[in-house]
Amino acid sequence: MTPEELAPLVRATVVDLAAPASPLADSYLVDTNFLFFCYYQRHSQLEDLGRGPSAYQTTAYPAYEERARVAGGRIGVTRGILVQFLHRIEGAELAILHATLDPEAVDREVWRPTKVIREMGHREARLDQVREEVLAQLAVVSANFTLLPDPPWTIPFAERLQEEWGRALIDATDAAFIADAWAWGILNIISDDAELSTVPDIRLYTANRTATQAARRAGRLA
Amino acid sequence: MAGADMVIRVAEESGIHCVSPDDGQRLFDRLHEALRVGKSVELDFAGVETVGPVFLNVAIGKLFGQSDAHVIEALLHWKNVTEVSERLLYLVIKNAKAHYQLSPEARVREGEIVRRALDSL
Repeated sequence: MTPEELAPLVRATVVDLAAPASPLADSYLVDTNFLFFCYYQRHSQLEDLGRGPSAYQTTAYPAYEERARVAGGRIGVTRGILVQFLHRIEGAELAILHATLDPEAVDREVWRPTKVIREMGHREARLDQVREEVLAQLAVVSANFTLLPDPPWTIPFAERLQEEWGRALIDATDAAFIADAWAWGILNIISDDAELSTVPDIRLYTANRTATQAARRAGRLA
Repeated sequence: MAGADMVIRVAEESGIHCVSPDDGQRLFDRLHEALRVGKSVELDFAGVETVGPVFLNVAIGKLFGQSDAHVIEALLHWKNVTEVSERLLYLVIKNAKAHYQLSPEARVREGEIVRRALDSL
């Protein structure tokens, strides 16, 4: 979606976190994509990340995280986001393991431990390495972020998710994330997902140019 | 490490929250220059509260693309690192060594796998 197409749909207040004097908040929740850019060790290892259109992902977000931490901001992660993060990096690690064991193999979309074992033989020791990679990154996230348990729902989860889903152009996972944010009363969201700009009543801290340009056109850029 | 040629206090060099690539690049520049001339370096993480993978990949991981791994491991040491940060340090070093041993084609493939995982979010 272009900024022009997104602009009429923007309902959030959008903060361009890549701007030098972008506003800070007392507390934030982070989305899975932020964790992936900043806390999946292998992502920030890729040599060409400093170039190209996605370079901002590993520059703007960590820079803003540092500013927020220096200012005393508390940065939280919900259990749903953390589980999604771990699942994605597990999938990437399994695919990398498979590519390492069989360089000629065709890439697959989804890798599961049983599939690696079935196709590659008994390589449990290598699967232990995958788990170690994932668990090490879980430990780092646990040490650096406030882990929020499931919130004390006052209405059934399904109703809450439905409410948030119906208010914005987001998928079910995002709707559950926003429902968690409301339950915790933390509506400052750090994310690279432009679709979250369609969520009313949140402040979206992003460096996504589509989101910031759309918000500027809509008069919703902080 | 007793008698290192150079001690770098990371909190003074990079601040107490070590997460940004810019801070990592400044530390990388100092480390690279020292290791290039054969100086031993001790990183003192006392006072550091946050250590992130982006910072460590730029500051330390990139060294393995520039210098021999044995030289780096012989000359680079650290202290006052939390258990979690040290686990991350070892992970960064292990993956950097493996990454820079890959063929260019294999590195591209690894990058595609990681990007596909990100795109699926």
